[in-house]
Amino acid sequence: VTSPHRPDPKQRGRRVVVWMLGLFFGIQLLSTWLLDRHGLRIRFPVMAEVKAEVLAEKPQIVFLGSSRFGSTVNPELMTALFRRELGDKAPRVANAAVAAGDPIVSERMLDQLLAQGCRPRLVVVEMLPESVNWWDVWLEQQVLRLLDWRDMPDVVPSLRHMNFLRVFRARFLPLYTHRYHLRKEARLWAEGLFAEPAPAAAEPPLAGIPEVDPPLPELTPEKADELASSSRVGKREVRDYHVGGMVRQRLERLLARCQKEQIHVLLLGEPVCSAHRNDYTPEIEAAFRSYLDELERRYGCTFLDRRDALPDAAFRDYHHAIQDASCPFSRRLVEQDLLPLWKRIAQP
Amino acid sequence: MLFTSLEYLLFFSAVFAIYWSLPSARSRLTCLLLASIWFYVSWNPWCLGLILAAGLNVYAAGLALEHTRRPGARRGLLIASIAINLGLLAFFKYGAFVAKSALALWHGLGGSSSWRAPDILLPLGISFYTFETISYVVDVYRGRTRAARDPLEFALYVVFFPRLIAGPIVRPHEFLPQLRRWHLFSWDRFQVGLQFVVIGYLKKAALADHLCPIVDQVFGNPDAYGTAAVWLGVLAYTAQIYLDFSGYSDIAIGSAHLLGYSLPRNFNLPYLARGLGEFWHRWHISLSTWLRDYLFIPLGGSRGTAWQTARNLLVTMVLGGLWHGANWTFVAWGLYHGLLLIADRFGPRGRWLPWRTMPATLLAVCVGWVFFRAQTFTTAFTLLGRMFCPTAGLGLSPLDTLTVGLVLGVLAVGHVLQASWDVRRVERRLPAPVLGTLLALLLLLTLVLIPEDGKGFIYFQF
Repeated sequence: VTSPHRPDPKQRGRRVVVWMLGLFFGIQLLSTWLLDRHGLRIRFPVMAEVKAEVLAEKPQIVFLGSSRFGSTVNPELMTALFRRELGDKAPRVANAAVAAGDPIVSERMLDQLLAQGCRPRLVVVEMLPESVNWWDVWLEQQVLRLLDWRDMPDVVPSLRHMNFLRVFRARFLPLYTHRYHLRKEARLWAEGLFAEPAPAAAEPPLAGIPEVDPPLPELTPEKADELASSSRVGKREVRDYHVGGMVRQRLERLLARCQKEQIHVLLLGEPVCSAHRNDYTPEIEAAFRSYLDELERRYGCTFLDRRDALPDAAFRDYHHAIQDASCPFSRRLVEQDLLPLWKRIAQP
Repeated sequence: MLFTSLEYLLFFSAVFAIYWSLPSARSRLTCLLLASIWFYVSWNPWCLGLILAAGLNVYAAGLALEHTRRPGARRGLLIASIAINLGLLAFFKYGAFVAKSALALWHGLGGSSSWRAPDILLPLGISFYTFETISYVVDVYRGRTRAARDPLEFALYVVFFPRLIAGPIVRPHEFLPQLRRWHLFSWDRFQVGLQFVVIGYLKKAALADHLCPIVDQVFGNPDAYGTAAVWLGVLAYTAQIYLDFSGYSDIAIGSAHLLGYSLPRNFNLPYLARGLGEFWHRWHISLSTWLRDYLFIPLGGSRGTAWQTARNLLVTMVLGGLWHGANWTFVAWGLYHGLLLIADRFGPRGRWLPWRTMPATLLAVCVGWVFFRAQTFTTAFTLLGRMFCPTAGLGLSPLDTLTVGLVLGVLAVGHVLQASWDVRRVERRLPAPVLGTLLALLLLLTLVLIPEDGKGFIYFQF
């Protein structure tokens, strides 16, 4: 006879298992919630670093985009060029682009910058046909490092094109998914307990303006072949092209927010190599252009097409320029496009 | 599909759900067989043919043995079926080794040849399933087990996925009757299975895998390290091989439990052994008992003179060493253990003799692991030289030293606690919420500590 005060021993196994699995998944879900809210340094350390740098700069012009901007935009040079022209009234430029940054990341970055008191007057958003293709090659990555439960309904339509296991892991096993950065943060925290506080670093002086841009290398046949073969990867990014998906939704949310905050937006067609430009078929180009017209009409933004601004010799793959190309591109962008635009924006 | 991968967890969850929802014993066995084939094919589909050939050979031999009365014919059948399976093992595991050794000998004798020894793919788990099939046919021959008539049952005995790749090696009389029983789902058993799996994950992924890079760096460049670093490297390997293999065995035993099956225990606190004889009663128990029953005893065991017993011990251990891998260092490891076992057996008796103490046994085992882990004799002797002759050289980084110290500490505490307490009894006395919380926290800790580059199990290469 089982005592009414003692649990039935036959049920003990079940109770242990229920406690174990309940606690295990409970803690995982709690961790998901905490990491979604306060875990950018763990989920997406690169974005956290870039955001911290941008916040320290207090810029008036912010570039939002991917690693493509990382290789063509030189914010120090741009700030120096503005300062030469406008003196103390010159805006500071910051590059808030991150690796694999699509409109989803750009929108979240701007959102967080605004939330932390950084209010730029001009935002330059990277804009290529693939940036708004319904099939976002980076969506899986964003689920892992940026999106939270509120975003999941928007992810569901794309689930069939994604690795379900990675999505499951990201949402239900965050302690496993982010274990490397969790351990790294724990180690840094432990080291910090015993470390002497570092003296505050002095603000670096503004960069000078080089008189002459570094020369670009010659385009050898081998290099041309390399670019052509790397553009095969780029071709995948515009497959089954039509504007849509979560990237479109987030881009429009970004534009609407900027409109509300009275932040001017420049959509910039970033340089890509000729082989990749050839992937933009007339149909793709027409769909892209018509969408841009719609955006310009609805949100009052401007599209600036600079996709052919650099020769093929300036690229290391189909869409990343070499470091030396950032000088001529940034100089040309400021002198021809941003300076006139800024003078217009800055008028009272 | 590694046991420590998320793919395995999902695969197992699916098998578990389907298996327990099936209404008949036959459909459950079919489910397990298909899952086992899927599991094996996920490594290398080509090797499935080999396991099928080895299994069919022994299945047919078992049936034929039951229908044959003449002793000569029965003996012939037994020898033929063992020879076929050992032949497969010899070709795939030792073919390249024999060819390379013969070529080296030929070159050593002054001969010249442009012929290169072929590289032969080692089918996963071949050493384990070969031994299981041999024990089946021998047991049928001896009349200890009735031959399996149902091909489904027999196939599952050979390919049951939790123990297919690296054991524990099961005997037919332990496993075949379980296949014939109807299994009722039990929460208690489910809990025990989960406990085994969690402990196994902790040992393998959270502890052993963090020692792997440290061991690799010391054994990969022994000339560079000083005495202290070499000792730490060897101790790290001593811990790694135990945690890795016993972790694997725990996951295998736990997975089988979750499906309602029992597998034999493979380890029993081996590093607390006093004397090499006791060590082999505690280390890789399913292999050591197999070697005892199917090699040592048929060779004559300890029934003959001291000389014959010593010879049998030496042959058994050398072959046991060779079973682990096709390399002369494994032969040396087996020979070393054989000689120590002879000394253990014929030396003066007494529990408190210096060489029968736990530290002396552990030291002897550590020295043995140097031969086991080193790729060449040069590496092994360099390491042994540096262990026993103080030598200056590089040290391990503070983080690596701390890692080795922590893992050794956990291992030592685990051994001592299990030896001094009846852990099962303590566990039964814990309230369910406390035990559930402990298990959940252990699993969470393991998940956080799993290295990013998942390491394979050491025993998969054997």
